Amino acid sequence: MDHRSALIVKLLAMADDELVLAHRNSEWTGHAPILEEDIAFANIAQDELGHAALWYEIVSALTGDNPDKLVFFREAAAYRNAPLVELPKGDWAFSMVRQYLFDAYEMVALPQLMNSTYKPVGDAAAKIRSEELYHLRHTMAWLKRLGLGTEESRSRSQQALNDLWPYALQLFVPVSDEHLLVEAGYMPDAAALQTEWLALVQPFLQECSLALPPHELAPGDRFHHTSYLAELLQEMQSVARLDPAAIW
Amino acid sequence: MSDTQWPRFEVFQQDKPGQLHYNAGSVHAPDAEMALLNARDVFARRPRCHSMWVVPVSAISAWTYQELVERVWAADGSGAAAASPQPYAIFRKELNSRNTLEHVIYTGEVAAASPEDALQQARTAFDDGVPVAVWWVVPTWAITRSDPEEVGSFYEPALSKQYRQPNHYHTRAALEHFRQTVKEA
Amino acid sequence: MSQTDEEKLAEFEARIARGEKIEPGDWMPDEYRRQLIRMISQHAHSEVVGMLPEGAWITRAPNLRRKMVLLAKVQDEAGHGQYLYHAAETLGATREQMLADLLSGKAKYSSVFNYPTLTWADNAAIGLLVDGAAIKNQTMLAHCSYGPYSRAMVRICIEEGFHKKQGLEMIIRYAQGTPVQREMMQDAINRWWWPSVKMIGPHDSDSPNTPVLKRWGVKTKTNDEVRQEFINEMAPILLELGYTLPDPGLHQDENGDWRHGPIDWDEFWQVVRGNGPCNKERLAARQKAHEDGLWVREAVAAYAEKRQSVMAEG
Repeated sequence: MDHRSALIVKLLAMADDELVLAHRNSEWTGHAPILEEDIAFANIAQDELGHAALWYEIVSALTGDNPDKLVFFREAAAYRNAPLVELPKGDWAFSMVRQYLFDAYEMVALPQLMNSTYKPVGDAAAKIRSEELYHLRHTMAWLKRLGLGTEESRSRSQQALNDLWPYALQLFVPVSDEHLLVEAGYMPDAAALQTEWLALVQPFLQECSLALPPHELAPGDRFHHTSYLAELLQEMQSVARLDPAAIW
Repeated sequence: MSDTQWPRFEVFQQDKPGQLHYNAGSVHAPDAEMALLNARDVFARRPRCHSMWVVPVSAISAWTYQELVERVWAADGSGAAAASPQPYAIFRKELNSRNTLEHVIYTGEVAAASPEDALQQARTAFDDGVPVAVWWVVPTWAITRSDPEEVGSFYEPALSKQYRQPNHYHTRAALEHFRQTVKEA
Repeated sequence: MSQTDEEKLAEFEARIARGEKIEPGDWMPDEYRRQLIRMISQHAHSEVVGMLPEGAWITRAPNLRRKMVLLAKVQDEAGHGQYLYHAAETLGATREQMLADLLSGKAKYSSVFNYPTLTWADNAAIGLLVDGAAIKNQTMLAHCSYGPYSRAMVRICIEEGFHKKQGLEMIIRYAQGTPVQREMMQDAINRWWWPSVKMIGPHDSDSPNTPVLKRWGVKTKTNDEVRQEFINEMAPILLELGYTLPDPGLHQDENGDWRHGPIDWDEFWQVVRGNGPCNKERLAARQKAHEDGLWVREAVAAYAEKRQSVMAEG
């Protein structure tokens, strides 16, 4: 494998993470626990769609496939998102804990991506980072309230964390030949990111009175998805595939 | 606080550096931190904001023009002179304001012993002959302000969402193009 | 010092005649307050329930741009509901009570949201027709005599500009699109035309509140006047684009006005009374969100209380 193909896989992984998470988050629109969060969470979902589009654009420049084709005409098996983001939205604790773990991951990754020697990556990361700062602030505010609110909210959040932790760790499993990208300075080293991420999330989760689950990886990876992804894509792609010749 | 009746916070928005904060509306929130986040999501979805303040409604003393006309003021300044003065932010709306979007606008600060005292001082200090429809008086400790260092993450993301602007949709041109195609066919 | 109620009413009406806004704290007739709470809370509920028909298509939008636009639009509707609940609160209504009335089925919301969205093209029809009709009404209400309602309406009108245009953009595009798109769009127009015409409200002869609302500067036009403006705008453009409208009586009169055929008001009242195709589903969705969210709201309240007692002690 060469740099170019490794880069395409990695960028698809980043784009697909944002897209699939945005999909799950957007499912809350109209159904959030309180009207204010319909607004806030829809805002986060929009940002994520925008981020996905930025990463797809870079893939598009490399392969010639336009972003909509990548999103709406690719099968589940060709998606490279981490299974973390495809899991159903669950309850509010599940969605908030997942969002927090993912936001924290982006928060450690983005400053390094901004220094990427591959300029389009650096430029996109700079745009994304200012929005991510806000996301993290929002999800941190929520985790504090859920972790320290009532006994029920704490136990639901703890359950969510237990379920999600093994999937969150998969974010740091390198994709094939990622080392080529690290050596070229295109992408940060995943193991170093994980160390930084743990240093960020461990004390905060403790502050929220949430216990860290054991360090175990969930089954599956970016190349082997749960059945939830195929269902999600069937829904997402249903209109686009009604008439592949149509411009919507 | 019931589960659907969180306290109300009034939201003051500044569109650009140097402009005055004005009351844009209000949000509900369980506390000031969430109020500021909610205010940002509710009132800054479009690129038209540089700073925000939120104030719990319970901290606001308000008087309308009508109330001031009818009111008889206690001669001793409501007996509050004993308290030590603290800073109050003053907001007002002019009676003949033609501004359809903004309610009260920030006018300045006074140091006063009570909200009534602050109002009396403001009526003198900011008297420019313009009749005032509404006065709001807020102790400055009750104001939670967005962090100037967070302008980038709070307000700039709205700039990238051009699809929220009507001029993003070229419907007139599309219609013209349609007519052209029909004519040619 | 104290005025009689007649004097107060005369002064109130004089202020409205001078174009002054009535603000919270000002004297107002009870009936003015009651009518405004009724209108504003219904309007707020409509925005909140109005998220559901289109919200169901966010996950299915056929390209990335449409997905972002629809998400932004539905998000705006939540924001508009929020502005309006606050405007009603300045009159003494509580959000708690308004929400309870919505969830119990006691409160009304616009009948138009009780129809199903069957295909993607329904989002285009809603954007142009439903939002188009709503904007006509809201533009009028932006001039309303009550300050908080008027300001909320100004903001909503500014924001809704794109809601209508994204709908029109699709309707123009699908008119020249593939047969699948044209057919889907025509079908959606067939289903959304009448509900949009009706949502503007009953004929003037059947809307007893209109005269007093006009006198007090809440409404500046009657339902039939607003409806005429709406049809005059929509009919010619849809016909020009090659679509048909499901009203055999529709024609242009000698003044250039597009006149509609007879309206089936029985159907309208059926939907208003709760027997529309989706009334139960819409209410059930709101109730579920409310019940599922209870523990979340409790947690947030508990946290705020704990913080307050920590601050009080420290």
